[in-house]
Amino acid sequence: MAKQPEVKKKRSVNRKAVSAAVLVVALALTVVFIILGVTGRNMDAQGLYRLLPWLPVPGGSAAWQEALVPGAGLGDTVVQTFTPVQSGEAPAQEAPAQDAPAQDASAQEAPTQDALEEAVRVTAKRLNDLGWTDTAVEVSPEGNLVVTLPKGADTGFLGSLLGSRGEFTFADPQGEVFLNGSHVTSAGFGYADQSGTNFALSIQFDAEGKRVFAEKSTELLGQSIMLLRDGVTLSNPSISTPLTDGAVSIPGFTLETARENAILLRSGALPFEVTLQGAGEPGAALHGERAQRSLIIALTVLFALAAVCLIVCFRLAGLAAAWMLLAQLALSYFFSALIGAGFTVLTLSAIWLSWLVSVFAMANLLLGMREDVLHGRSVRQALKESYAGRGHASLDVYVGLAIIAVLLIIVDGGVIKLFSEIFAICLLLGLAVTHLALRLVTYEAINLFGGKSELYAAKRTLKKEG
Amino acid sequence: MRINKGAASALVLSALVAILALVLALLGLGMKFNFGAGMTLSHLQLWAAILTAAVVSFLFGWIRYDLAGALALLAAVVHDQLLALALSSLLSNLFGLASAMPALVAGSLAFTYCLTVPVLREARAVGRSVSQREMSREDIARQAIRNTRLLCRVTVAFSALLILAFAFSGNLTLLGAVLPLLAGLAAALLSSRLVTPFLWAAITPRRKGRK
Repeated sequence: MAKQPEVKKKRSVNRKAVSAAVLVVALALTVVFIILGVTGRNMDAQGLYRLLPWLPVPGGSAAWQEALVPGAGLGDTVVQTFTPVQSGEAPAQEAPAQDAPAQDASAQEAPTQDALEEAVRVTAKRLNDLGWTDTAVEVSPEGNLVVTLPKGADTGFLGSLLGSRGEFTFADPQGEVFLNGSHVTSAGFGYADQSGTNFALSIQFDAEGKRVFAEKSTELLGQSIMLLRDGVTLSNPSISTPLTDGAVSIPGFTLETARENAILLRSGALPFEVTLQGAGEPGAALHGERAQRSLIIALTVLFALAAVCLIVCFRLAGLAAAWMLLAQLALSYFFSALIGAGFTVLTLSAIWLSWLVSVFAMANLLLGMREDVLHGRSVRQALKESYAGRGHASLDVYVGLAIIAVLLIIVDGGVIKLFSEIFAICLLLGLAVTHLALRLVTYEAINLFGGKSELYAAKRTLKKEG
Repeated sequence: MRINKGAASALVLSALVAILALVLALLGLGMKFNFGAGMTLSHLQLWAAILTAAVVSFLFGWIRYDLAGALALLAAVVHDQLLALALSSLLSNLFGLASAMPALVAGSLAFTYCLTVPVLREARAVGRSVSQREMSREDIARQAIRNTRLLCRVTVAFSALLILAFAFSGNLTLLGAVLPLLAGLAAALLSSRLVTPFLWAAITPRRKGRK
């Protein structure tokens, strides 16, 4: 008797089970990520390595403030007072600069209003250069410089940096000054050699500085030129070739000193000597004592309101959208903490503006989907059509804004750059969440719960528009 | 190129606000900052950012849509950025701005894009589905505004709530800090509803000759 050929049975995949598994895994990942964001986690038994919590919560533990350090606007502050040095108490300099500002001599007596304003500008520029944009620099009625710093800042280092006059001069081996820092147009630092510990200060001069330095470096060939800060010699490099291109690189610095000197060169010199009074007084947040707590609560309420609106209008699809908006927020805060952004109005604006773009994108997609469902199209097809049609509008918004943000990172060097860095990251997260994650989650939800139109559009809307 | 009267009036109003803000700023009556933040304001970087946004928007609009779309997007970006700056400068006399002002003026581009791009896309879609005999380009622009009204309302409502959440969480300095966002939202709403669609309608595309 001939054997009957074996009939291969096609294995049917239980699509609902797959969808349920996908949704459960995605939900579990979101929940774990958010719990970690609120609580943090010790990465070893001794607690030496710790994943800091990064999601801001009102009251209770303030451990998240280690990851997202609050600026002076939204966190506790330290107020430092710098008093102008009266009479000729300034440290002796080796030689006066040839073309130093004429006000210098008189500024030691009593700083004029212009000198005080210049001191505010220089101090604020130094703070901005260090990334501390959320600070305050003001002149008190007594004529002192009052600097409000975030409590989390290294106030000792900042106090010494801000209190330094920062007057740079170049002198020949005899100590005769031939150029000062007012002719420096830009300054930076970089590795001087392969060792990784020797850093060089790079300086660019204006036309006058270029001419003077070219003449002196030609004249002093084989000798050395001294770089002095506030009369103290920082470096004494020898001249092997005439430096005529208006730029000079001076080795012999550590990372910290190179950075500090570059900041002081870029900001310019204080018009008068100052001394720091004490270690600083504790103060309240600039935007109000309870601003941090109130803002966290207000933003949480805003999120809840958006979630409720989405769920009421779009039911299951709205729930998926609210879930994705929460995921985007958690990811945005995580990456902001990772790049060292502080808890400031700047950071929060970047995070929440990109979140707003996602609210717009999701509302746009779900409105399109609902419209198609109401016109009798299947939910699955409506989702597909919505991404193919209206989805392009939100894609244009994400891509256009992200390109601008990336270019602003390149073009700008100040607060716009700081904002654009966070904004670009959050926009890309929003793009991924809206155009990949939301689509996947909604598709799996349709598989799992079916395509009844009541599940994706409010009944009232169905009656009204049907 | 003939532009709708309402759009022309809105443009004139925006120009007047900008001129007033400029005059007051030159007289030292605008651009007031809290906490000495104005000392570090770099006007060059602010204008460079606005120029960058304008150039990118034009090129992006040209690549994604057409010349009319590109010019309309360019006009929206320039209008909104300048008006946001002008309104911030004027209102700073009441609240004072923060050091984040230039960044938040640039950030208000999010409102411009969210409110303008859907209208331009819708106008383009409607324009493709009807002949010019059935509907003039101005009617198409009006239709596009009507079709995107709900989305616009949702976006503006949540944007306003976000700004309010910031503004009323602290003292007046916090309100001053987010003033550029408020001004940016108002400027974007004005341009997307009254200016940009009609500017798009006024820029007639060159007809291709039959081969």
